[in-house]
Amino acid sequence: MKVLLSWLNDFADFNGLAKTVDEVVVKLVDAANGLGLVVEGVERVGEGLDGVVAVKVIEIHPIDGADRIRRILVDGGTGSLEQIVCGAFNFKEGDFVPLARPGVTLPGNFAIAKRKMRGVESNGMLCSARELGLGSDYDGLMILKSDGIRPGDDLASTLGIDSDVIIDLAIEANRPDANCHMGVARELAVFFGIDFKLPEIADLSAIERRSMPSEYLVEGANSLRLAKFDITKIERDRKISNRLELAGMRSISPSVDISNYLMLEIGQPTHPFDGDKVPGARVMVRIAAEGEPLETLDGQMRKLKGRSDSSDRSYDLVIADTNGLGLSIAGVMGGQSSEIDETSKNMLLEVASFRSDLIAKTSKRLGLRSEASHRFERGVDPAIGDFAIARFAQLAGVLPEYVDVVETEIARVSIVLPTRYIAERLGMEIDLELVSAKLGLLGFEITYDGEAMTVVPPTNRPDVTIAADVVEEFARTFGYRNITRTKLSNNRVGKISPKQRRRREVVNYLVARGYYEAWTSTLLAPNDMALMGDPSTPIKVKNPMAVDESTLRRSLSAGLAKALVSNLNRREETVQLFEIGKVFSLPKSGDLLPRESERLAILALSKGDSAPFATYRDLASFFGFFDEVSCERIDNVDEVVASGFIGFHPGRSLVLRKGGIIVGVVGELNPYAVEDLTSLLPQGRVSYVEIDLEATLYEVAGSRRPLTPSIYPAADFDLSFEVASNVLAVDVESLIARSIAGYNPKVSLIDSYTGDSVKVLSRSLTFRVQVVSMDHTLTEAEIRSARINAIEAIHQSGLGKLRE
Amino acid sequence: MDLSQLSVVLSDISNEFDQRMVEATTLAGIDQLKSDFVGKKGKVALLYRQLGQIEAPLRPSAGELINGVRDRIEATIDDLYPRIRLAERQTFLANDVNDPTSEVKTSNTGSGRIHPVTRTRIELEDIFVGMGFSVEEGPEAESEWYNFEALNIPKFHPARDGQDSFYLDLDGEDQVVLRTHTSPVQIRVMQSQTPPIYAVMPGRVYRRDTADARHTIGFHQIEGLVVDRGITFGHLASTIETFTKAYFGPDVNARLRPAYFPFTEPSAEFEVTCTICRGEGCRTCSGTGWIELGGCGMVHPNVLRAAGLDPEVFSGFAFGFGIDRLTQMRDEIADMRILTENDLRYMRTI
Repeated sequence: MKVLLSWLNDFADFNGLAKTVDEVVVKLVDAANGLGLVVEGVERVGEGLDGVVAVKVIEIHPIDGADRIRRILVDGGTGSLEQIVCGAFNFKEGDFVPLARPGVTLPGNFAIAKRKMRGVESNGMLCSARELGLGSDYDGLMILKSDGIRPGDDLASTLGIDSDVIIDLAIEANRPDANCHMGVARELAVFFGIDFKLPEIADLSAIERRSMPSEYLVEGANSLRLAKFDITKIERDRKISNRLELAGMRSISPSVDISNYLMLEIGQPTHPFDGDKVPGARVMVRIAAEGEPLETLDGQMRKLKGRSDSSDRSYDLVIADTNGLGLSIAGVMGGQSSEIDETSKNMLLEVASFRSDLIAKTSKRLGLRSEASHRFERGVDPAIGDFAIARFAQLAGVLPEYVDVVETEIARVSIVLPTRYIAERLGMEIDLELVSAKLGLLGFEITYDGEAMTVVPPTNRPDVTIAADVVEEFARTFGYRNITRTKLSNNRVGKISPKQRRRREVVNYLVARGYYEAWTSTLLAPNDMALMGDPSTPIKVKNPMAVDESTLRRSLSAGLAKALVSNLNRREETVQLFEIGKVFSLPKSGDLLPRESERLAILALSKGDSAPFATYRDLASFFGFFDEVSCERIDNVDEVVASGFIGFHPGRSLVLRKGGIIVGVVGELNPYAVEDLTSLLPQGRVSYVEIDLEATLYEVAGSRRPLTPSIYPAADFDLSFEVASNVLAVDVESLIARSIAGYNPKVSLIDSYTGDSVKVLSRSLTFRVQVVSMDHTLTEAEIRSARINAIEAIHQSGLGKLRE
Repeated sequence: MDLSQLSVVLSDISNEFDQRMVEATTLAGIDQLKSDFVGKKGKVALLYRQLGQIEAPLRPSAGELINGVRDRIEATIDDLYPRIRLAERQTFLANDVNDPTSEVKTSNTGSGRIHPVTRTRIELEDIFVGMGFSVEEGPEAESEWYNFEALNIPKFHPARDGQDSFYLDLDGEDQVVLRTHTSPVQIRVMQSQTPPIYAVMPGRVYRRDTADARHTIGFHQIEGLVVDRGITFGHLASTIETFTKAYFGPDVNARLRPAYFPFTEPSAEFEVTCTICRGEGCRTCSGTGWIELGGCGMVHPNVLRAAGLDPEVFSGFAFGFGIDRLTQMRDEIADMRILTENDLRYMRTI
């Protein structure tokens, strides 16, 4: 919200805080920040207007060969017309506009000089509001209201402009009181300990005050006041329209301007109806009918929401005439039919108070935000109605003919808290007199009764409802910086969990092996998972930002495949990436939240054959889950896909199972899936591992433990088996190891051969087996027996046949 | 042969040795010299064999004469050997010259890199662990109740405007959103643990921000929660200041100013000394010397109640800020999208 220093000075003498305006501004900015009214910008205005005059446009001529500038003759009160070249087109002959003559320096140190454009001499510049530092409008020239202006009048005095300072404040949602100059000034005055005075109001004691029927209010509307004014008597007040413009609102007409001025000054939005367009000059509040149409001031037709039953706490309120015809959307925006215009003679000023949550819901539902709804949804002081009308009358210089009122009792909150409460919550001793003094000045009523204190917040602070709010109010005015700091005295030992430790180890392990950690999108295009081979319907986002980010990933494969290809397109030749992240699938029946699991994916592309299984085996044996997880050839692709692992090459990948459950895949990415997803068929093999971390690496129970080596010499022997093409070397290897477990065996594949010489079965695998005893040197007989046991185990399993 | 003849022979041998010694400049030459004179078949050994030709009474004296020469030769060689070895090594090293940078790089693997956001997260976790906090986690898809209602943000609350959420298309009773902040983890921690609670909660969050130059696919926050008996605003302020010094260093200060968050009361925005200008005022901090880092406050009684804790018994504070934002400050990242582009040219420089 933009506040003007001059306006704040109406309430308290802030100019008296320091010698210069600059010093005053520094003090105010610092104070406002400390009070939680955050200053987002400070702008000086109305400076550099010296020498700018109001002139009357007499003639407008085109310039040959130029279609963006024209030659203008103006009357500047000098007795002869002055010629100006101007690029604006928003004015006509007879308009009054500002002229900066040569020699004038405009805001921003912009010096005006005589110049020639297209051979035509220009004796100065006709100005927009922005060029004069008087607003943000730069659509064209600033058109001055013609009443009472004479050509040549000084612009600053014509507009009633003194130099001013605009302070832009960010007002938090819990500070409805600070959405007006009065509220901001009160806060600052209390902070500086200077006198605060309310603005002058007209004396309405002689004005007829009539009651309206209670049916004029419905649930959600707390009060309604109507004041009828003869607006033909209201004169333009340049100070008002000028301040409105500086505060960011357009000046419209004297009566509408006062309505808006009142809102910015004391925070009460009011709505001016054309009194002659409202039958009987009476309006009421009612609940909208379901689907009721209403055309708002902006010319849009709005469809309103009714109330289904008495428990429905979300419905629109309408201001209607006494026949029930809807005129405006309560608290949000006025309607077309009753809009005040240039021909209006009578104004019916509606001053009402609504329940904030209803206005918030209406505003959000209609996507319609106005200065009024912004204030109502945060909470407007419900006790300010009469004051608002009296202030309106004062500003208008016209008394209302009558005031009609219907209102409900204003509920006041009493907060009872132990007298020690504030001290205990802040953690320091607090003088209760200081509490009373600080909060008292803000309008809080505080009484003490033994160990309890009762706080009744002022009506403009609907946000203060509980003891914690009172603590904040005091802390804020006391100054957060003045609160004593106390070190936490916990004797707790901080720790990351075993799972978190394990995650860090995995990251370090992969980084040390040359992998880069990626962060790919959780949100994918609708088809991404399908292109990677997943036939199931992904979880959709109802309101995506872009179609490319509209479904939740079920696997990390698509993201990493995209990352791979974008790197290939950048001519990277070796790509090694990994990612740890969440994947999502439909909730288990009866659950609300999707199933979410943490996965690790490792991708490597290199020219030539890569060795994904080695990567996986190193990782798995390093982290000690290799023995608990079986690796099998994929014989049922659908089953693996159904478990959420997709994108793999079916002939060159293994499925990982633990206790029958699929916990991952290891092998290669399906190059055609990558091509379908990215339009690029990667050259070379893309090795890929994706595993469920909770089921594998985070299972600390299976952790590897270090072994003490034997002090006795080891012996080794080689075994070659002929195996079928579908037999996995790792299965043979682990069976050998299991069959001679008592010999502390170490089995490694040293040769794999496929060729013509292997007749019956298609492959030959050679393993080197090392055996050792922990308590003696193995005898020849023992070694022989180990060898025989291993061979027999393989023969019995049918996995292979020893090559003699 | 008599003693005088022997002396002449010895003197000849000795002279010859001296001459050849001068010529022996390599270790191989020394070895040859040693073998020629004092080796098993060397000239001196041969003399010992001729001792029999000398009269018996004179033999001891003859032996001594030979011993003297042998000892001198051996001592000379022992003395010479290390000097020659040193010289030889020096000569080799002096000539063994190469340009170490001239090796052709054959592979660009080697070590990889941790993601910069992960790096920041770990730094933060470690600092808070050092301050006695545990590290907690929660789901990224959350019910509206955990993400909003339990945190004292009812429907239509103005505070929801700033946190526009992605809604998931599911059939459940309650709506499910991608969490807009890590705060729902606070509720889960309070529900599953009994105070004292000292925890930080890092994680990925999602907001439906306007798609502009700074739009990224989610971002990361870290959230802190302390719930215990007698926790005060003074504790909060002190914790924020301790963290600031620990993370940014002794020159960076923290300050709190009043703010509004539905889930805390009193609430504060916390700012730290601008790390670019060190408080002087610059473009990054809009001339204020301070950078807004996050929000904090005393846990709202409604939030404690929603999580099943009695606000009359327990009090607490919470704080939260952006991990990506800290990463951006540390690495001076101009465009945050680089963090999700997985561009190896960038990643190699991390």
